[in-house]
Amino acid sequence: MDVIIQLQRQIADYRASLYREGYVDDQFTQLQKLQDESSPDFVVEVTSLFFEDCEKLVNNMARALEPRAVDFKQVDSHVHQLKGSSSSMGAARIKNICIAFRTYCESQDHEGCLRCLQQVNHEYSQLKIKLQTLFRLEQQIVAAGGSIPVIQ
Amino acid sequence: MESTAQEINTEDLNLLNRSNSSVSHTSSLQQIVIHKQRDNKPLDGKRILVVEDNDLLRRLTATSLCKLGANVERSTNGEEALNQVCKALSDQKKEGDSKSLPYDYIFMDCEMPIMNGYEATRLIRIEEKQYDVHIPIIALTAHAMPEEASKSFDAGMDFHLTKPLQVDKLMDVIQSPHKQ
Repeated sequence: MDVIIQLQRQIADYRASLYREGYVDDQFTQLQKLQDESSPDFVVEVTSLFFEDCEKLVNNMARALEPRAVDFKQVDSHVHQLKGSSSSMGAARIKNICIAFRTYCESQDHEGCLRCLQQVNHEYSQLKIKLQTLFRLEQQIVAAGGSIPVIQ
Repeated sequence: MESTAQEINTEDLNLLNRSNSSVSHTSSLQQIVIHKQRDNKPLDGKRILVVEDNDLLRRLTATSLCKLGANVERSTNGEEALNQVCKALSDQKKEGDSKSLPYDYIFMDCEMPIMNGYEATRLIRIEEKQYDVHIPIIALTAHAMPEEASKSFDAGMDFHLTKPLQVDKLMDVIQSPHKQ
């Protein structure tokens, strides 16, 4: 029983830190609420879809930013997609970088775009580690016979 | 928000029916359960078309709507949506049911490749004239700028919501008196 209570506290604390540090926002909470008995792995599934999408888009952006004559409309369309995905995921940091990224696309600022791409890459790796940690904690609690604390 | 009445499922109700001789007690209990279920499924029986090019967003919007009880169909761009609506309208006419709406609502993302939401809506409105119907179309945009709202209304959309979909705002729109 103690183990479960400890794990529940760990999960609650870890979740709180993710919000506090701006990794996720309220939309992530909304995602949790969509998970139920009929779709018990909803959050994990959506998260892995998001990371797949992220990887694909980042690669597309990198390729589009390679040539000397960049097609900024192309880059912008990828950033637009990522902004939509990250916003619906609640991935706040990534979303915010995308907002800045789009203005660099608009002003056709190659350097600015490359900087944003680097930031996106960084935040994507960070978020992946954070969420994998959270899911692992949740798995542990279920394995110990407990239940994942409900998000308020 | 959850009440204990909601946790009573049909199995328990049957047991209650058998063990409890008082008919009025169980029927009022049943009414509470049905009422709670209806509260949780405000879109029960509604046919909704979600038009969105972003896979993740499309999935999320559809899931949110399904959870509210709706039957959801999906399109990935404006052209697909237009074709789907045209087909639904003509199928209905063939079945002799041209007056009812093929969809109770269409959730239309505005920025999409191939054909955007504004264009798709304009063309849907033209098609609808042949059948004298008007499907409520809800525009979905990334921001809540007044220019975007007026652009949606100019294209023929009925309501405007921001992405990602928020259930309380959605319910405000659905329950608003302005409905055809």
